Parts: sequence; C-alpha cells; structure tokens
Amino acid sequence: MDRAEKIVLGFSVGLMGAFFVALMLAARLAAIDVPPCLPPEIKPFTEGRVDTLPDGSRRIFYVARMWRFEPEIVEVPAGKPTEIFLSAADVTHGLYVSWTNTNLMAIPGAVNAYTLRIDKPGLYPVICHEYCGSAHQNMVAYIVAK
Amino acid sequence: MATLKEASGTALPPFAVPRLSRILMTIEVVLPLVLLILGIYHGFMQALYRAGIIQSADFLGVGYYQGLTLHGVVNAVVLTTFFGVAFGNAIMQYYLQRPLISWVHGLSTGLMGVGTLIAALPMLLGAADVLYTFYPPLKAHPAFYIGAAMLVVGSWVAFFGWLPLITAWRKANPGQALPLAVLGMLVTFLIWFICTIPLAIEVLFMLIPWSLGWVDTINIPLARTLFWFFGHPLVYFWLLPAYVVYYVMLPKVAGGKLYSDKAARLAFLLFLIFSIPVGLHHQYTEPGFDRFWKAVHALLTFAVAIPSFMTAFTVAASLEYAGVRRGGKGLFGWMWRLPWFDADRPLFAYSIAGLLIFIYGGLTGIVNASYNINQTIHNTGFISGHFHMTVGGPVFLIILGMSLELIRQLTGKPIRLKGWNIAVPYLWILGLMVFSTAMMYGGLMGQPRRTNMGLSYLDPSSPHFRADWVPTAFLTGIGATILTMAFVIYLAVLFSTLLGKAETSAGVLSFPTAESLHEEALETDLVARLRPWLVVAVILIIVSYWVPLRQALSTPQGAPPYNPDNPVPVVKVKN
Repeated sequence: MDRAEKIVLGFSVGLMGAFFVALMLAARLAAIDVPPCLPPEIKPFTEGRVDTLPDGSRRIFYVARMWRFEPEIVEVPAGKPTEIFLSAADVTHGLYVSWTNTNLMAIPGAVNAYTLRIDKPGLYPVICHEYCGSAHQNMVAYIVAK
Repeated sequence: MATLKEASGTALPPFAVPRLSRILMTIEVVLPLVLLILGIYHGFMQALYRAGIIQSADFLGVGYYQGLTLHGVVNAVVLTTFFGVAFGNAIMQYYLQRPLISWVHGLSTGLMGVGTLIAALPMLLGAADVLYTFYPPLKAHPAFYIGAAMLVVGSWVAFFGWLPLITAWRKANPGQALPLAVLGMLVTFLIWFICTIPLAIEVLFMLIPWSLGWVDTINIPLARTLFWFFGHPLVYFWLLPAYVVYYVMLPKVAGGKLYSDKAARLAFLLFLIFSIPVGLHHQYTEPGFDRFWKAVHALLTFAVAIPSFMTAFTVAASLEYAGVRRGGKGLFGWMWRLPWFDADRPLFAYSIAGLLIFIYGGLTGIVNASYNINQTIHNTGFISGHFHMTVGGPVFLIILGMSLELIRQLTGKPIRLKGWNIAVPYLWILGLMVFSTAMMYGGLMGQPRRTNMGLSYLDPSSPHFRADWVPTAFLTGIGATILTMAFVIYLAVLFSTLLGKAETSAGVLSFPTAESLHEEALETDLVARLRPWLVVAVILIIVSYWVPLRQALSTPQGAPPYNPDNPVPVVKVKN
C-alpha cells in the first residue's frame, strides 16, 4: 500500500477512536447512557403503577401489552428525574417518550429501566415503536410534565 | 513468485457455462426480479399509508403489516440471497475457469426456489404477518420458518459447491493468491455461513418446535440475541458482492485500474473479522445486557467502518486515475471525464449512483452505531431512512445493474432500451434522497418505523394525530413515488431484454477485470492467507458473545406464542 493509503487508514482509525472516546465521555460525565442491566431480583411485573417519592419525583412502573400502556396518563414534575421501569405482558413492545432520550424495548422475561428528565412542562406522547400486532399504531400513552 | 500482476491482472478467456448451469443461473437471476414486483409495490403502498394518503388497515385485500412483511422478505432476503448465489456462481466459474458441480448446483437452486415458494404461501395468505425480523413471541405459520430455512440451506449448498473448485484452482496454481473477485465472494459466504449458524439454531431449535406447539414457551432475549448475531453480518452479505463489483470491475469499466489490489484484499479480510461480533448494537435499548458489552459491540462496529473508509478511498483513487487517463485536468476535472451517461456502460451508472448514496448510508450508519446517540433514533424512521441508503442504495443498484449484465451473458440477448436503462440509477438517487431525508427527519421528530401511521398519527380525526409529522410523512410519499417510477422503467428494460432476440451465443461469461495500478509482492504477506483471519474472527465472536449469550440464557421465564391480531396467547402456559 502506498503512503496515501496508509494516511487514510490511520486517519480512519483515529477518527473512529475519537468518536468512541467522545461517546464514552458523554456516558460518564453527562450521564447520557444506554439502559442498564438490572439485578435478577427485579422480576417482570404485570400491573402498572406510579409511586411518588419523598422529594415529589415519580417512579413509573409501565406494563406494555397488546395494545396499550398501563398507566395510560401520568403526571410528573418538570425538572426532576422520573424513574421508569418497563415490563412486557405479552409480546415485544417499544416505549419512546417523544422529544426525549427515553427510548426502550419492552422484552418478555426481562425488566428495562431508564431515568427520564423533562425540563419543559407540556404533554409528551409515549409511543410504542416496535411492531406488536395489528393495532400497534394505536398504542400510545401520555406523560404530563407540570 | 506470486505477484499481484499474476494474481489479478491476467486477462482470462471467456468461459462457456454448461447448459444446465446456464438455465439454473438464469432462474436464480430472473425469479427474484419477478418477485420484486410484489416487494416494490408493497414498499410504495407503505409510504402511502405512512403519509396518511391511505387511512385503512388494508388496501386491495392486503394488510399494512402483511405488505410490510412481503416488502422486507422479498427485497432484503429473497432478492439478496438469490443474487449473492447467482453472482457467486458466475464469479467462481469465470475467475476459476471451472464449471460448477451440476448436481450440487441443481440441489442448491431447488432448495432455494422451493423454500421461497413454501415461505411465500403463508405470507400471501396473511398467516405470517411477523415482518422480516419475525421477532417472537409473535408467531407465524410454521411453513414461513421452514421455507426460510430451506432458502438459507440452499445458499449453503451453493457455497459448499465452490470449495472443491477453489481447492482445484489452488493445486493448479501453486503459490498464487486467489483472484480478488474469488476472495471477495469467498469472504462474503464465509461471513454468511458463520452468521447463519445462530439463525439456524433460533429457527430450527426454538421457533419451529414452538410454532408447531411441541414446546409451550421459548426464551425471548435469547431468540433476539441469536437473531442479531445473524442480523448485522447479514448486511455485509448484502454489501460485499457490491464491493466485488466496485473493486474488480468498476475501475475497468471507468477506463482505469484498481489503485491497490492489496488494500482491496485487506478490506475484505477486515470485514471477515469485524462484521460479526457487532450484533448488540441493535440491542442497545434492551434490558438484560451489561453496558460494558454494549460498549464493546459499539467499539467493534466502529472498527467495521474502517474497511468501508478504505474502500471509499481506493475506489475514488481508481476513478481519479481513470478520469485523468481520459484527459481530466486539475483537482476535480477527472470527475467530468468519467462515463456517467455512457449507455453502453450501464454498470458505471449503476455503480457510481450506489456509491454516491452510500456516502450518506455509511455516515448515518455510524450515527446508529454510536451507543448512547442511538437513544434518540432507535426504532424511529431514522433507521429505515438509513438502511434504504445502504441495502436500498449500493446493494440494490448493483443487484439491478449486475442482474441485467448476467442476463445479457447468460442468454446472449443485448440490453434493450439502453438510454432508459441508465436513467434508472440517477432517478433512483433523486427518489432515495427525498425518501430517506424525509424518513430520517421524521425519525428525529419521533416518528416510529414499521407503523401504519395513516390509522392514527397521520389521521386528523384521531386523538393521536401529530400535525408536526405531516410534512416529512408527505415527502416520504413523494420520494417513494419517484423510486417506484424508476423501478417501472427498470422493468420495461428487463422485460424488453428478456423478450428480445439473442444476438451472441448464450452462457458465455466474461467480466471486465481491472489490473492493479501498484505492483506489490504478496507471497509472504498476511493478506495472501485466509486461515489466520478466520481464527481471529472466531476468537472475536467468542469473546464478544460469551457473556451476552449467558445473560440472555439466564432469563427466568419464557413466552408462549401470539397471533398478531389477538392478545390471548395461542397455547395456554401450563404451570
């Protein structure tokens, strides 16, 4: 290989390396990360609920089933972290809180988790983004940030 | 002494394909192109549903999700697998100058053809609305899985049939490196063979017994992990035949030479080691895997971008050399000298259009692979916008262009409507850029992929109506209309060619083959060997998948099968 090719190869490796380091720094320093692996004690659940924690923030246990989320409408305080746990009651579903990074798969047999933080008050549609059968397009819930 | 000149520069005589192989290869090329009418039609329909133009669960008796399944399976599985095998059959015969073993060829084409028909029946009858990823616990009719397995096994048989030809060539040409095209197709099918093993485990030992009711439940995270163990290397199985055309044939068609044969070999071998241990990048948003292993797969996915960067350089340098040889001056003058609109070199137009699209396809792929950035775009329209610029870009255009070339050689019939033919790839760029840009923009605003949006988000009378999605959804429909028009022109070219008269003798293979610009000695080089790279590939697979597979296996409970239209499982779980 000639010199130009070696330069291109080195540049490509350096570029991808720099991207990767930047992503890992964002995960560590800005806490923008992918969903974690939960300890095995946290078992799949079949009933949705909302807990209010002492500081006023919420913890939502979402159940995704054909073709709705439970709970369907949740109020959360704006500017505070909301813990989300997600379980699938039948087939595979997705959960995407519009205009946020909360983007999760609901997989039968496992529990998913993410911390949502909404700063701007408003109505946020929660959309199922994985095909889950014939009425998949109607599977929507809402989060109201106040 | 084996030099690259000997390895790839020698002009080979045309190769006459025996009659049986000629007929079988013609079937392998034409059958998927005919099925593609169905695949493209349903692609177009989906864009209309998503744009809110069709506000219904079905159209002309075919449901949205049924059409989506047909679109994915025909375009991304049937077409690509048949083409990979047909192109491989042609490459092996021409570059090794040896006929295929006829019973092996017959068995492989038979398995693939019958498998396709068996899988097509339940899809056409609406008994397999599970999309081309067939994620359990949604269940298809068992025939869907059985047919798909036969298609894959048929492609394995074709691959096994090439190995004795390669061995015989090696014996007859001791010390010489394999022809570049043969190495490219060998790597393509080695990746395919390795990655279809986890798929076979998922289909044969999990999905088929479960869909037949022999077992009540299966482990869903395990099934998904096995699927994506297969699902990402699959895209390199689609892409690498196009790379063979770009490296081996395009420089010659453009009137130049391949900038570096050695860089081309290195790129193929890097794909062999990095294209498989990356599947977890499809599962970043899933529970049950340590973040550490998701990050490892992110890093390895970044590594597999490197041979594509190398390809971009080598192919561009080869084209620059061709343009300069054709009289191009200055830094960019060579570009205008290339045979963009030469109707007698349609392969150039199809290749360059694919390459231009792939610049965007490759860069958006890096976005998807980017670990935490994926939180913004996972399962949104961004993903579909991206892969239409890869599998729907270079892969699809090379399949269309090379299929015509194979038909010309196999039947002796010259390509008709030549001027219309070279309009196809450029019209495709236009349609695809509109389509993919709109899909990706919509995706960034949260539009989900694989969703009949006309029934809810794009229906102004629905409580879920999203006015902010209307412009991009509408543009998607415009893009898809242009793409469909390009395909209709292609069909006119295809059928007028097939119905035309033969002018040369049928079944004579001869491919434009570029010499290498730089002469580099290969004999002691690592790129002349295959085994060390295979060993590294296997080690990387074991290291990257050992813990994720164990984590998937530890899932506490399995899932019973569901039909897509019923929230009650097909079989009751006994406890």
